[in-house]
Amino acid sequence: MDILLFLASVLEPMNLFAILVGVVCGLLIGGLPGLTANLGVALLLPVTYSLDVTAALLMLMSLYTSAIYGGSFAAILLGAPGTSASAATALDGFQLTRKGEFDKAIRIATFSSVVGGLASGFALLIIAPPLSLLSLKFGPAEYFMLAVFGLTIIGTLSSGNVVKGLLSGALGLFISVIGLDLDSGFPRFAFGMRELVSGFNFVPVVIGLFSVSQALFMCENVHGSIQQNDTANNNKWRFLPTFPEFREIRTTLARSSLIGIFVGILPGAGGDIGSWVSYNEARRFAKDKSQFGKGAIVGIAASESANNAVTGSSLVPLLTLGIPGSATAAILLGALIIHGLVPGRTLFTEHANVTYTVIFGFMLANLVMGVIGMLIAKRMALVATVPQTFIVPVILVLSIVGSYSLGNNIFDVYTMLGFGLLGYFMRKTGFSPAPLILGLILGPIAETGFRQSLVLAPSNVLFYILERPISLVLVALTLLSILSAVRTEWRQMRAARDGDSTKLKP
Amino acid sequence: MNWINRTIALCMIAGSVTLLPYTEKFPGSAADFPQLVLVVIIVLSVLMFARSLVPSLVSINAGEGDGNFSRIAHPVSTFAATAAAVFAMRYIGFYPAIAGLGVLLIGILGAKKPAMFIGAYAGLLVFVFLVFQLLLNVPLDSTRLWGG
Repeated sequence: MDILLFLASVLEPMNLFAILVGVVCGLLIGGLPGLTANLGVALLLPVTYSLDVTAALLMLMSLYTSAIYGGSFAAILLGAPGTSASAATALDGFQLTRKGEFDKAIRIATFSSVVGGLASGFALLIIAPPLSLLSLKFGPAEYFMLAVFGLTIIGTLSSGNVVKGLLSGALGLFISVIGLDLDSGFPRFAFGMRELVSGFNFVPVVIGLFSVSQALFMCENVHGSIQQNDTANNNKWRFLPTFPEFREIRTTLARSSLIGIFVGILPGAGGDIGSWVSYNEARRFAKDKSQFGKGAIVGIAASESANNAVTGSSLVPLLTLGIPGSATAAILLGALIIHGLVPGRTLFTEHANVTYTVIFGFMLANLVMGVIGMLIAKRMALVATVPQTFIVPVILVLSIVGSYSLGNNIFDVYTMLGFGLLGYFMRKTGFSPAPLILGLILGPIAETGFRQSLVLAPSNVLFYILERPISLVLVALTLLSILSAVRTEWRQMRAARDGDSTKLKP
Repeated sequence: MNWINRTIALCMIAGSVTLLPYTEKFPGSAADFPQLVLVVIIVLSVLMFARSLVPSLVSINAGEGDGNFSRIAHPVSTFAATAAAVFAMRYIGFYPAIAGLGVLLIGILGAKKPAMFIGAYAGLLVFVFLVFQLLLNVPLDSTRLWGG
């Protein structure tokens, strides 16, 4: 009976309007490279002051989930992810666009995002309290090993070269330590430069490595268009995946949604980590791994379902324990407090009407997001046919403005430019920028875990890590990930050698 | 591609070895993690260097540009023009500098339909003005904030 009341509350005009505004703003913000979900939620927060608490939270949460989904538009169309959580989507989505199958990529991304978002909504509704207890069991050793595990994953993500992938990730870790050490207050590797004391802002680095480097790559063939095949117009525009497509992605959808939910619950691990872990798992389970990076719909499904599954589940520790699971969830925590709500048990008792209405509204927002997204996407398909001469300036100007708008700081623009050039040459020389980004994200988590483990370890830090069950499991997964990556690369090398030797035979 | 891998590996090793002593100045445990990361970079770079010396271990992965550096003139020119525009912003302001970038890009990218390019570029600037400056209050027109 209560459920019906909550559902009815969601359908109130003001709440529906809030969802609609949140979804549209989220799609626009997510679709523009450089504008992030955090930025969107932070910008919309003052707008919600005058709204009823339920409508305010619905607007912010709708923006959050649709911005993550909106990031897939730019990732698929331009190969420049709108948000860092869509970086994995760009690998296969952009390749499909180049083949003239933009419609296929976007419908898989949309369907997967909606499934992931709905799954996380259900997780938030049903399994929030018991799952949130697991994150309480994570100590420094577990967080350190979680970060190490994440970094070994990147070895398999970097187009078949484990050493280069790990090196790129280690470089990301190194960049993450530049700036003020929060424990001692000592500026590390700042070399007297005032701007480096606060370290590199994450967003300009992402814009540079992905957006600017992509624009520079396009300059190599400026008169071509993103779409290399002229088959898109012959395809029938479908809102839902075809049955064979659904059959191909259904297992991945289920697995990636679960991974996204789990990752989202862990404080500090956001949609970026969720999508990369899911992408890697999808590749590991795939029968034909060679299709990944060449337009595999399973890759798109993995990344998009996971990053949207993170959005709801990152609210689990926020609502139950007051621990934000992501940067956006941290801003939402501020929104809760501004509107007079305190995270914890009271949200599910005294303020149950608000909490459950928001959760049901969040699920509705995911459906609305899918419909509006597909309507917008049909028009956006035209972008793929525009000559790259026109696309390059758009990416460059929006990258400059997007970097600057974060803190009105010119150093962010210089950072974006520097990492743009670095990203271009990294890609030219076989280094994927993705592991660097992951290293940058995981750096602070890894360092905190490592330093705390050093303090807590009675003797050797290695024994301390190995004697804890969860970190032991993570150690095993790390080794498995490295061995699996080495084996895959070894096989690819052998296959390539055999192919060459066959050609040489008379 | 092998010489590139070797050069990169050597540069990484040289850079890390140079930075390692610098971490000694860090107080308390602030040096622990950077040292660990630098050692990992050295080990991986040595692996990459060693691998480039053994023909049977050379990876099939050559990078997205196939290691072909003959076409970098356009990207490098575009980057230089963008960097110049960003540098000019502190003296002449955002909009004039970005307009100048547009003029440079017509030449660098070799726009086949300059009139259409100018129209699209002007539309982009209007979009930036409406969304970022008017809606989001980003002070794009202030030369002081750009460092001027």
